[in-house]
Amino acid sequence: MNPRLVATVWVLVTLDCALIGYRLAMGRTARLDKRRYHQIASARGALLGQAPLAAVTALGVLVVVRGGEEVATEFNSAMSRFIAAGGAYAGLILVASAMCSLRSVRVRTVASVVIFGPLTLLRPAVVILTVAFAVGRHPTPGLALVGLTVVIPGVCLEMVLDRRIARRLVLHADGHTH
Amino acid sequence: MFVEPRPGGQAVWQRLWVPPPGLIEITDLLFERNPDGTRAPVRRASVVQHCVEHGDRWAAGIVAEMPSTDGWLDPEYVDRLMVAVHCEIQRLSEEFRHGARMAELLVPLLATLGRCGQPPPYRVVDVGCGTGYVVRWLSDWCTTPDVEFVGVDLNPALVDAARNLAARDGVRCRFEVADAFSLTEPATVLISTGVMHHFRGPDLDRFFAAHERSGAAAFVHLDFQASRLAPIGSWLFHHTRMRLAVTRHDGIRSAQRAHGTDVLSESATNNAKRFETMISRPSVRFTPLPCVLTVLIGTLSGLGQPLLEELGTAARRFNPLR
Repeated sequence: MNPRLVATVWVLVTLDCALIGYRLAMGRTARLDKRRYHQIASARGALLGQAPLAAVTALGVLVVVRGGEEVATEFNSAMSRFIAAGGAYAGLILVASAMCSLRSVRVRTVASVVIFGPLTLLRPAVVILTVAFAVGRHPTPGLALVGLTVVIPGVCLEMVLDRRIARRLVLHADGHTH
Repeated sequence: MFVEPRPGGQAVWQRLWVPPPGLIEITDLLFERNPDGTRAPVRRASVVQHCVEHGDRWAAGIVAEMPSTDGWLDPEYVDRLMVAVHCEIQRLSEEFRHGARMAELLVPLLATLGRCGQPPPYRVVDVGCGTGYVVRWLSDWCTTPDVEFVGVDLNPALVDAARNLAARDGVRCRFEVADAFSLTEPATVLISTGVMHHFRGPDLDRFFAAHERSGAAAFVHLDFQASRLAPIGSWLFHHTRMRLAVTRHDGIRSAQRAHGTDVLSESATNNAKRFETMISRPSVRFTPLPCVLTVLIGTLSGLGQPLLEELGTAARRFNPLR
């Protein structure tokens, strides 16, 4: 396994987890200044993602160690394809984030409504398609298993936590719920 | 004997493409007042039936699941729900930058008032302020003692939440449970965001007529603009960002209920007769793309032209009505 590819995938997934934490925090406080609140939420999201990320990495190492050189090569090319597809999505997020830092009220509105909105809606499909693109070229049982362990938390983690928050939202509503 | 109607469900595509004949918002139905101003209990079955009668089975399904005691909606739950819904809706105000948009218009408007013989202090009153996001944002942005920001709403739970949030935010503004048009200290400028679509038919006329007796020198009202794309955009926005069923329902219905610029123009010019009004153009300049928001500005007679001059290039976004 190429350590540089592993590190890049780790950075991409950790960034995605930080964004999950950020999205989970949104709409729960009506305070004006939410920078610290969102920073903590993003850090929590990034930390929360480390456990499934570590599990997938361990599974990947196990698959490569048991499969030998050929599997390691396939694994590297799968990671490269994952980085290409995931990187494109991350690139769009970065462009929208850059737009949000501009002064124009209208440009910032377009960035959050026209780019962040659809991207958030499409994220589960993006996760599935990215993993399918990465694994699908030469699908071995080992790679497919690793892919599945990426897809399941990648798609379900945010949904489950979001529903849990939704159930508690009214119960503790005072305009500033943590 | 009253039989509670079965609410049933509605597929997502039906909610979007086949809006019910009578467009309603759930939050409008959960809070009622007696003639003496005290809170009236609300019967859950009556709200459910109202939703069914208006053809909105999605709303009926949501209300039918709300907690009640002996058939009456639990007022504490309703208060918490209203605060939670408004807290979620604030995301919309944040993403559409309602505070900054309002500030962009208030600066030239207050400058016009100063130029035309109305010196400070000015009192800016937000009609139907909810949890007071715009008032708090404006108070944080404009700290001069010449301008006082006041949020007014008829729902005490929302006003309480707004006061608490303002204290936590450390901003200088106040909130009142009152009728914004009959304040003891009248407004200089009346503002609102996302309020106009709540008034339908004769109520919209009464809303503008009330500006006449308010003593205000101007008003600025922002709301969604009616367009074919609005319900789709609203569905996308609310399904990706909102968690509560009530927020999703009311958000989508808000876009479906939005008034066209023709309706707002006619009602404002016919009923707020002391004011010169102007409304934002319906599409983005040089494109057929509809604008997301409508801005309706009114100034006492004689102030319209000076305001257009103060607005500078931004004046191109408006059509003067009278």
